[in-house]
Amino acid sequence: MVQSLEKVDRRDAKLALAHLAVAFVALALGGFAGLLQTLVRSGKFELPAGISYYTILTTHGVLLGLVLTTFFIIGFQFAAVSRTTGSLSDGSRRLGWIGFWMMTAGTACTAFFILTGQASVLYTFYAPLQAHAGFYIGLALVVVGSWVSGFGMFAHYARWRKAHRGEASPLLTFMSVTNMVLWLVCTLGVAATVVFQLIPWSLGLTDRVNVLLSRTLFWYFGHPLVYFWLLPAYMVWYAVIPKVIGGKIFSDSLARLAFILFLLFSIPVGFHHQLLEPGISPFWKYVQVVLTFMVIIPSLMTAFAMFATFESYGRAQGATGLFGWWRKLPWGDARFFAPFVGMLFFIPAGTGGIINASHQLNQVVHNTIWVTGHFHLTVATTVVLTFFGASYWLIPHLTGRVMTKAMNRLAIIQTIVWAVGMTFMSGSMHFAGLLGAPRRSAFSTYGNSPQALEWIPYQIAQAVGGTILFIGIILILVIVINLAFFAPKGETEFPVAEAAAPQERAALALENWKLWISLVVALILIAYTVPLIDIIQNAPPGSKGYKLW
Amino acid sequence: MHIHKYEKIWLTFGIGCLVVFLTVVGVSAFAAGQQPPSCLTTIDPEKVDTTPPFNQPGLVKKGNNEYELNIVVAAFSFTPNTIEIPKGAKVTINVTSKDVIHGFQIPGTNINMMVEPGYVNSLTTTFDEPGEYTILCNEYCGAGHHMMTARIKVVE
Amino acid sequence: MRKVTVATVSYSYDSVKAGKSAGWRACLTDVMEDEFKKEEGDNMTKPEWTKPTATIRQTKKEKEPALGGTLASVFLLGFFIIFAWVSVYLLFLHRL
Repeated sequence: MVQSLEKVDRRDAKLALAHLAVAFVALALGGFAGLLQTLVRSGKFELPAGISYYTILTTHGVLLGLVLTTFFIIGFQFAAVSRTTGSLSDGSRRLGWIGFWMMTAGTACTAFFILTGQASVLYTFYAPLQAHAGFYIGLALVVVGSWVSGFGMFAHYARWRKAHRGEASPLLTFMSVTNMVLWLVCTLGVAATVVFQLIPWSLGLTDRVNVLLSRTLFWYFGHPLVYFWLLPAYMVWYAVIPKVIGGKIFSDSLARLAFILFLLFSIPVGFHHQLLEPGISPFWKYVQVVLTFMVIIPSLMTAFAMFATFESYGRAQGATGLFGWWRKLPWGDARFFAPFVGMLFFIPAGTGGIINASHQLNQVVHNTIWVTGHFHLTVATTVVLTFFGASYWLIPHLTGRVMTKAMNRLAIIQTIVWAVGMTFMSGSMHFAGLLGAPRRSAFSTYGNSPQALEWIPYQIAQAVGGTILFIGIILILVIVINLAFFAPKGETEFPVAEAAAPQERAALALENWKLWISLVVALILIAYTVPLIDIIQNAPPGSKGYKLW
Repeated sequence: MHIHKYEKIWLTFGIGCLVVFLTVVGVSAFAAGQQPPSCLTTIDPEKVDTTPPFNQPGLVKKGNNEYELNIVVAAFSFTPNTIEIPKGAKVTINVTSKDVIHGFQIPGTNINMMVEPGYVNSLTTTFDEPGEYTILCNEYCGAGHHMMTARIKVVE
Repeated sequence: MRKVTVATVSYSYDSVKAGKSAGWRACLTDVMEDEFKKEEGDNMTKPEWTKPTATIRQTKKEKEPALGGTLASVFLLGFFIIFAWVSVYLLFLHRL
């Protein structure tokens, strides 16, 4: 098959690579923090120099959950839109660089205050724990910077649409734009609480803060945040993987529909992170639980689409029998294998999510280490392994190099190491959580509580898993540094899949932003208006700030 | 939009399962009263020590084997921190925070709720099994977060 | 640019891909797609056009690709979800 050698413009490649560089630096530092955490929680290791476990935990969450993800995603999306809808205009690229520098400056600012122990508030920074104002200002810069980058992408997209009236945009661009719309709408919540509540409060300009309002605005953002992470992984699965294996996109229209469903239903659902809180009526909690279940549907569609893509390809290669097509997949190609393992891990990952959101069932797992096990499957395996798998072609494509057979073999090993480490760590987290072990906690026996002593073997398993995962981090850094600086020069394809069938009219019909954004706004208003008014009108006296670490 | 016959079957089954899950939890929540803890009562977080019932934290008998357990939560303690409860007692646990957000959880049970300054949270449970139960804080609240603990002894 | 003639209809693969074909052509396109998939392995040998009308009729019946393995796989996934959810639900009930 002739390889498509359409190349991302050199200048756009530089923008994308800058984002990826920050992402992998964040991975290295955040991953190291994670290793330290598992060692502390095994009960056999103490942090030196009086460093607080919670400072390390905050570092881990912010660097991996906010920095690694946002930077990788925006960099990937710039590359994807440049690849599929043409080089960025100078204006769009400028916005991209402004966004990048704002985000990087914000990250450095926030990281400084975390590492100097002035912001051990964890990546959710719940009031009335109060960090140094610099922590919040840095985060606000990251968010606003991402908006600037988003506008750069939207401007590029709008230009393309004007020049291609009556055409549906290429799938990767459509999906990138959908994800940025989702991001823009949901970050309004966290920006509101940070800019209007937490920054003035931490600067001393206001005395008190409405705690429940702040949390509610955070979780209005916090749930769609995880879809902002997941959707780029789905982009790779839908629009890249079929080309990598030599097949075609199973259904272009259904892929677009899935993304629109994510846009609609991943935002008005924040209450499922607040199911056990006072101040919110169970009726509105249940309304948002129902909406949460709606967002499961596009993932069910995606599962079908993935299997169907693989089976169609396998049968086209002559496979027979119900499952013979599994053998035809390119298991030795890390560009496929890593994302595939990500898909596999999404089975327990998504399943756990359904359980977490099931209203009163949340009492079994809320704030236990089960939840930590859950998101280490979703973001730290599904999303991260897919991002690693994408890096294996994206980085050499952008740097003008090729991935050697040796590096590919190392990447296969890295994937297996990651999977084994995560099975130990997340598996033991799930079971310890069911036994009641709390999350976000340094090592403790809770006064020699018989229940707490039961958790220790699981914590040792978590340390084993965490150590294996850290080896996985070293391996991916070796590969990525090789691909960026030392791999042999050459042309690497940015694989973009073609659809199996001609494009349906539905594809263009789905590009109806006025309709979708109106529906998003309507759903948010339905889900949040009444409870938010209640939270504001019936608010108790606000809280002063506390620095308890 | 063309949808493969098998995909229609899968989505019908999948959505059907989701509807069943939602119905099961919905019915048992709204009809059988198994709602997640969602108390709407507010309180001034700076006046907890003088606001009933938290001005006298502890176990209060309300009826035949029915109790109210009022616990004041602060960094880094639960007050009271040892409670004796008779077996089979139906207890309504009320909690509030004097400072930051905490969690209130008893591992091995469904007792799990957020404790927020300005609000009272509440859940009702029956202690059928005698033994020693551990209360702990499961929401990060500062340096002593993992030291916050209390005990409930359920006695015959 | 590939041009293939079937009976008196002629079109190019690329224009079909761009979705500019009308509904009845889409049926022929499915035939084309099946043919192209078969030949991807053996490096562009001539497609078989021995019985175009018969192929069209056949295609209308077997238009849907064989996805038995997919159906089985997603149902396995579904049963896993049900099993896990019910397990935690039973644990919840047990602890009530």
